Amino acid sequence: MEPEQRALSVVLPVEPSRLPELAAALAAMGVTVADASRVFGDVPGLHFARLVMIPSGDDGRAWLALETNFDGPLDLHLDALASRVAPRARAVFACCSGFSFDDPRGSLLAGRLPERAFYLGHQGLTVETILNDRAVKRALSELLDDEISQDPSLLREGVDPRPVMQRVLGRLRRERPELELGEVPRPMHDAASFHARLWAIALFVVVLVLSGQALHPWGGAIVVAALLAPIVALAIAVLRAERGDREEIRDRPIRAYTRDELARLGTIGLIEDGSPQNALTHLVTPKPGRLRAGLLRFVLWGVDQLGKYVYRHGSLGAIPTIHFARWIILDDGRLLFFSNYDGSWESYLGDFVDKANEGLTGVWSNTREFPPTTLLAFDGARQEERFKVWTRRNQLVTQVWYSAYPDLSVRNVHAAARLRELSVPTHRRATAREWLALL
Amino acid sequence: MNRGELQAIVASGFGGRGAARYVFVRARTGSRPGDVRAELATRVLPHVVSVESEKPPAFAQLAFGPGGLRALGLDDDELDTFPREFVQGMAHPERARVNGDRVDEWHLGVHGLDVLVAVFAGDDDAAAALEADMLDGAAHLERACEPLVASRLPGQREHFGFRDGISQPAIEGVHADPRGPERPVPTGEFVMGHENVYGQLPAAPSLSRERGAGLPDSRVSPGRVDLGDDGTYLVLRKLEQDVFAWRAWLREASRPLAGHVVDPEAYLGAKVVGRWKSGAPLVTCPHRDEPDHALDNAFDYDLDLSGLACPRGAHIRRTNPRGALPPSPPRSRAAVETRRLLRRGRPYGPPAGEAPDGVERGLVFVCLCANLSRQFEFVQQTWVEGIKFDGGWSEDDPLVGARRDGADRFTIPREPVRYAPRGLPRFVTARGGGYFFLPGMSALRWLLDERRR
Ligand code: HEM
Repeated sequence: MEPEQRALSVVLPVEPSRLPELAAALAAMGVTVADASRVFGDVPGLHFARLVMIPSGDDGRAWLALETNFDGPLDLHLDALASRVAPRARAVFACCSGFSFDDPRGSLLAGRLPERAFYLGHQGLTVETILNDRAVKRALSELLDDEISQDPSLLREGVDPRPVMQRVLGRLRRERPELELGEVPRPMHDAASFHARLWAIALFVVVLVLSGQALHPWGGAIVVAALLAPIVALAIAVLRAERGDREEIRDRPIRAYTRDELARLGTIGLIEDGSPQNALTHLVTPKPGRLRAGLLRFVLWGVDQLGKYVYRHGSLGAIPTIHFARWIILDDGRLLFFSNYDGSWESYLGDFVDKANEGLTGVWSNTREFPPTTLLAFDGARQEERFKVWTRRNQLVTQVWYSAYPDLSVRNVHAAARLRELSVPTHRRATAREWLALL
Repeated sequence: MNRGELQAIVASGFGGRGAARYVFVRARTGSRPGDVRAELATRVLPHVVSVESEKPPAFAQLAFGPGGLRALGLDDDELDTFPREFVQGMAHPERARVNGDRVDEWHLGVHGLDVLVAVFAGDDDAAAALEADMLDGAAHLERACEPLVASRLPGQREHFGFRDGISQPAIEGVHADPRGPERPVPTGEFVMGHENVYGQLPAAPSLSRERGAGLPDSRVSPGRVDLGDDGTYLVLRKLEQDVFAWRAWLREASRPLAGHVVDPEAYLGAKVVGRWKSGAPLVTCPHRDEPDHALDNAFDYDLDLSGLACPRGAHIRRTNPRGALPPSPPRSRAAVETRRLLRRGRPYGPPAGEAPDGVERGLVFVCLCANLSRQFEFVQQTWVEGIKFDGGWSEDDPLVGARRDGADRFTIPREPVRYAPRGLPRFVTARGGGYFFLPGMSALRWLLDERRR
């Protein structure tokens, strides 16, 4: 089964001469989530969205990028974007070459790019469910507060949790009948089918080796060698390329911002860290050559698979703070990263360094000026200061950014979902205790 | 590691010296860098002690804000080799955003602080005498404002009545005999020019070879010379404490607990701090204060992940979560090791009496770290002010939080019903502060060398 949540990435070409006009149009939309709500707030099932200006790359092409994370079918979503967002952001879309206000839907679709990797931190939970669960959590916490103020003996250690739960839950049902309680359908990516595929590949390899062995006494060994040879060749090529990278970067001081970069950081600094959630927009150029381009696509595919089938419960690797993230490769080859995350930039980047450095190093090791790596996945992001400076230097201003629930962390979303699931009558003490602990 | 190169405050808070004065100094308008250097070199430098120095009855430590470095003759490009947060200064809107500060409530360092001369002595008279000795009659230096005078509260308490200054990281190579089982933190976390937790040399300020003649070659900025070796950054914040609001809240908010715990006010206060008044940690003494355990520091939260003993939001659990954070205790400890602070603060203002007196009192919060954004600012922003800390919904540090964005709750997990008072007042208000560069002794002598260009 597929989750209901989907990603849409659209990049629309902009003549470089019109970039200042685009920047002004984006700035006119305001920088806060509340500002963005005026544009995106009534798009049904929309979790997060952003509009970002992509400055010209080496070949001079520039774009406007639109990111959305939404529930339900793409068709309905495109209709909503065409009928609600396009007219409100007219000045922005008017800067895009060939954008037609007679056919905004077609114009958006024409600029669609695939997500090379897409991660969602709360698979299967729609905006509607998330907002319902938030209301459930708030109401229950307040009801419990109220019960305690009427009867402080509830605070006695060791009271039976079940009647407390019964009372509070009963009040919720009476006072807030509109709230959904208990299990709701939660379609997620099917980990079993993923595991089945892995087994199938393993089985295929075993059959290959065995049939080689059946044909010739050395057959098995030859098949194994044939399978390993390309991997070894690749590793050698990678190690050689990395030696070059190391020399390229060795003489650069750690902190080396240009004046332009400092100015951009100044803008970002006054937008970032304003709410419990944050947006990161990051754009880098891959290292030249087919080897790097191929590796990059392969690693992104791997990250995508891991996100879908392995990290399904709110934590990408050991990073428990990402709502939605994606990597896109632009037509000029540049790698664009969008992340909607909880907490401060420093804590997010710190998690990258301390808890997920191999995965991220794997992706970004193939891009320019990345701190030197070993076999693509090692070192790299562990060079903490260099990595953070590199990230900052390639960070773009997220001009317009929308969140449907800016006050919720990924952990909040999961805890509230669990609370809602448990909010049905129970005779089990342990369940009642867990339920109370979530309040 | 040459300990004679470190200013003494890196190794010690001088707890044995009862008196401290934080004197904010600047160059007089029109004074030339050479004169400022010469005057600091003759009047202040002789009193600055290193870790190894014999400590005279009164002595000083010397640190510079960006304005101070400019007054010594560094130019903008040279300042840009310092971290961005240092160059901007604590009052800059971006820093205020990060730290959760409202600079309109400040009265110290609104326009930056140039030079910090911290004076330590056995008693206030000796400290004041040394300050006068160094600054009275100076031709090129002047006090930027009234000095902050630390006060001594009985039993090493802070104004809310809790024992302070217990938990400190031990530094490799600096503290010869680190107490307790805690692994000493790599030197580079607190001193530039040495390897940090990532096994790397911290980025450090540098100069061109011509301008910095006499300084050692930089190992992190090729082709340049290094100004950071054996130096670090010092964070100073003046934090006003509202003792009467604190007491009133304890009285009020502990009422529903009456009959369920032995001493509701003491219980509530301990839950907020994470230690009882004596210092005994909740993790080892969950039910009552046990002064025998006052200095316990070899504990962890890995057996108390739900916070039943020490609430997840308690001050000491937020500022040093040890093994409490996901995904697992060992990985939490490894990540937390990159966020340690070396605290060197002292209280200011008279002890609070029975009735509100309208007198300002609080904590001169001072800490050292080699990386301002990774260490101090992170702890302040993400752990102290972060309202989503460790799964929270809308809570900041119950003791020192600024209660931004409606964060006014504090959850005390209890079995089975938690107590989560709302409407927490602000007990602590930042009144100002600054970021300073605390140079190593050689760099300091170079900075104050009157003959250099
Ligand atoms: C007026 C404000 C403050 C008061 C009254 C205060 C009080 C205390 C007390 C009583 C302790 C326990 C004693 C100890 O472990 O040494 C403590 C520990 C600590 N505080 Fe504060 N504090 C204040 C502000 C801050 C701020 C602003 C920060 C950081 C940004 C901070 C960071 C720490 C740290 C890191 C510890 C040690 C925690 C541990 O290692 O277990 N404090 N504080």
